[in-house]
Amino acid sequence: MAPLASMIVTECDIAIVGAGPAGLSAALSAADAGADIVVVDEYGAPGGQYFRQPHAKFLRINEGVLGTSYQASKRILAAVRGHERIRIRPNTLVWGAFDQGMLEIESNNVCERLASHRTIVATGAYEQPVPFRGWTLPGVTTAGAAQTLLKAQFVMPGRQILMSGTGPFQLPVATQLVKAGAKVVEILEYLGPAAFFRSFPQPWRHLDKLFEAYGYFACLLSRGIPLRYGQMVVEARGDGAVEEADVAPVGIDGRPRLDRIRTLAVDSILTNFGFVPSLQLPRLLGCETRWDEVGGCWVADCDEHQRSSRADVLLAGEVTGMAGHRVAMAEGAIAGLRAAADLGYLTPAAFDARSREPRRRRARHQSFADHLKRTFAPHPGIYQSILDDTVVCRCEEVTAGQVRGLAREWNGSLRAIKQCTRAGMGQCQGRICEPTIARLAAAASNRTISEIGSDTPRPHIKPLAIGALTEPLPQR
Amino acid sequence: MIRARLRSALGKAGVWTVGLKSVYSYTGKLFGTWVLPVSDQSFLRVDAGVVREAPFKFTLDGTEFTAYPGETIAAALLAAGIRQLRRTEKQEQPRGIFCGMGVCFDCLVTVDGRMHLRACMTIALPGMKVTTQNEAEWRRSRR
Repeated sequence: MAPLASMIVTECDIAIVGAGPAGLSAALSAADAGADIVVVDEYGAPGGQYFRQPHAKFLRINEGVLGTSYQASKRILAAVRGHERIRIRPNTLVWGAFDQGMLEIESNNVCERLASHRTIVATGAYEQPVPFRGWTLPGVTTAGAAQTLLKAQFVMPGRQILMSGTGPFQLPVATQLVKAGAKVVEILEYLGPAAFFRSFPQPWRHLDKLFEAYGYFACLLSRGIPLRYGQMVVEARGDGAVEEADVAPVGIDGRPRLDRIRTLAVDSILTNFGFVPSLQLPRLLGCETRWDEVGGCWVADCDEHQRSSRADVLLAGEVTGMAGHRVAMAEGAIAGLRAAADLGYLTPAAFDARSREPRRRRARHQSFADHLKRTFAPHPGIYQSILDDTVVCRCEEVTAGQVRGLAREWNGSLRAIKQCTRAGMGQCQGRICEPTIARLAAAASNRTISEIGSDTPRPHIKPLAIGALTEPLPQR
Repeated sequence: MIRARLRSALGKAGVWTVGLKSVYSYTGKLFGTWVLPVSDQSFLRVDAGVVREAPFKFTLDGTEFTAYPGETIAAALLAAGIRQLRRTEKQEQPRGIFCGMGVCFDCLVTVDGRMHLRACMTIALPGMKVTTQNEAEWRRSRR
């Protein structure tokens, strides 16, 4: 294509999108087999979310604050950085894909292309926010935002922090904040203690996780941080930023009991009700996705060798389903080996031999991940209790009431809701609002989320400056 | 206890501990230790066991703020107590950091004339001119 001829094209055997635990594991296993790898990541340094690194300009850091993930990251990052067949491209965004085997990337506000014979997508996940009244106020952030601020920047999110959500992720975040000296006012867990501490099968296989959990509880309880079960935040108020929050116990129907509200003075609310996989790139590449009823999110389909529905695209990590970093690393290793084997770098026997250990690891940790999925899946009551005047699409400021009304009128069609309100058409491209809107639409129109479907991503999957595209084009 | 009170008192007085700050960063580099209890009014910065390079200044809407090398604009502003980063187009509602990882596009600021950059993903540089976006005003001005 003549107009694109002046764009820089980087060639490699295997292109890996995402330099988190899964992407890095895939890069290592494929490069060890002999393949030439390019790993691209949107952030300034590899590691993704789970292995988020403090930025390089610290002269000295307090590793105690960074948690166990930082220790685990050192080995793999050193191995990847030192490997002669792995090229890492940080600050590079994959924004589109038009031709087979070619990814459209943008780096330093200039568009380039990345050609490969196999693509491994390991774009990870992000937090699934649940709207409540006042959640758009500055000061209300996800728990992951606080953890990123702390890990990468050594900055705390606020002085009086309230945490509200569900699931075990709140514990390491709270522990890291507390060790850094932050004041966590309360930690609210949506589930009651019986549901939260439900036993899981074969606990002796997961002793390391039990010790980890014990460490978090010991740290928090010894400092007197209140851990409250069966409670959630219902409103945030403040002038220009969060100043106080209303919290309420969760009733039997899963909805907050608004007759028993307590008010807390806080300047930072961290919410986390689970995660959703980042599926924009897999969908754009044509990979099949399905609604995971148990986990309550869309996931990309893959077989036991991490191959997606497209022959030249493999998937690893949270995109295939929320399962934690251990499963992500095992899946990455398998995907890397599979891609290398497909390209002839490994014989089938060599692939079987090398992938035996990652496959065992994947199975072992997947069972724990499945237990977490079942226990902490978002309860429908959380979404039913969203008040009509609460904004659900942050970018376009569309309220739950508008969505419900249109869903009833148009039988839950996401397309209709989008066209009437622009919900999902804002700068986040539906990432934050689509899980909520799909649930509201399904509830209002009595359909399942699988039927409601999800939006079709179109390039560019993240905002791009026009100059980035026109810059490499030849002058007329 | 005394450190906390000292911090709180200085914070309330809004004192820029400029002299102390340069001594802190100089001796901090010399001894590699956390020398003084107060760090330039930013109580949200974790200081214990952390040594940063020398800070620099950037501006937000003309007001100077301090940042350390490698910090994102969002982190530097948050450490200075600024949480509101823009006002929305339709309802003129205040917004700041939400996801902190570049997914939600709520923390948009204008940097040196380039609009709609994510403050949580953009590293602050010396002399950077950051301006907040009031998108409702921008929309009105285009009519």
